[in-house]
Amino acid sequence: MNKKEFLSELQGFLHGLPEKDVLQWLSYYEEMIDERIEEGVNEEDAVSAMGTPREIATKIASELNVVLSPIAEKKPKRALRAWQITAIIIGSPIWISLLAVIVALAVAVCAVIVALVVAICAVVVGFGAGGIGGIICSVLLFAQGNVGGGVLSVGSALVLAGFALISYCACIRFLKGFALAMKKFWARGKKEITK
Amino acid sequence: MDIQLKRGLLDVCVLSAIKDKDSYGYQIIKDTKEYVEISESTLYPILRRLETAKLLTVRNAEHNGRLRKYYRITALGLARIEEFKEEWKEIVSIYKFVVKEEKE
Repeated sequence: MNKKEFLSELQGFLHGLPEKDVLQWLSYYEEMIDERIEEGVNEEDAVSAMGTPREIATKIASELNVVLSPIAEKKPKRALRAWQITAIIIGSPIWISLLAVIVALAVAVCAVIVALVVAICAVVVGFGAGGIGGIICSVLLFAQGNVGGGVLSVGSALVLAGFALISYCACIRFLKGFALAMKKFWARGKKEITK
Repeated sequence: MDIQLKRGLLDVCVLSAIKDKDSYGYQIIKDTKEYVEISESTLYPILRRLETAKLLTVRNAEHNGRLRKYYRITALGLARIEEFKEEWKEIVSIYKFVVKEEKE
C-alpha cells in the first residue's frame, strides 16, 4: 500500500470523527511516513511500519475517548428552556412571596438568638456592675463615717459579686453549649443540602 | 502497567525529549526508543494532550518542501518535569516499603 492509499483508507475509517481532528491525524501520519521515506525507507515499508489503517483507527478511537473524556465529563452549562423561563416568570408572585417569608423567618430567628445572647450577657454585667457600685458606695459611706451603712453596702456588694460570678460561669457554659448545638445543626443542614 | 500511571510517565518522557531543544514527532520516537517504545499512534495523543495543557507549543516549519511540526516545551512543561522528579522520590519510598513487607 502506498502513502496515498493508506491515508485515504485511514480517512475512511475515521469517518464520523470531527473533521478537524481527522485532518490533524492524517497530516500527522503523513509526516511520520515522510520522515521514514526521507531516511531511505521505501514508501511501502514506511507505510506498513505504521500498522494497518484499521488498527490505527481503532487506537485513535480509544485514545480519543481517553483524551476527550475529561472534556465530556464537564457538563455544558444547561441553558434554561423557554418553558422553564416562562414558568419562573409566571410563578414569580408565588415564589417571591414565599422567598420573602423564608427570609423574614430566618432574620427573626437570628434576631431572637442575638437577643438571647445579649440578655444573658446583660444579666452578668448587671450583677457585676451592682457589685462594683456597692463597693464604691461602701467606700463613700465609710468615708462619711456611716459604718453600719458601709458594712451593709459591702455585704450586698459581695452578694452581687457572687451572683455575677455564678451567672458568669453559667453563661459561659450555656454559650458554649449553644455554640456547639448551632455548629451541629449547621453541619447537619450542610450535609442534608449536599445530599 | 497501570494505564493512568503509564500515561503520566509517557507525558514526562515526551517532555524530556523536547526539554533541551525543539523536536519533531519522528525524532521524539527515535530519541526515546532506547528507553521506552512509543509508537506513532501513542505519541500523537500525548502531544495533543500536552499542547492542550499548555506544557508545549507547536509550530509548523518547512522541511524539504513539506511541513514538519516542531514541539517546544513551555515553562509549565519544565515545571512538570521537576514536579515528576519530586513525585518519583515518593514513589521510590513507597516501593521500598512494599518490598520490605514482602521480605519479612
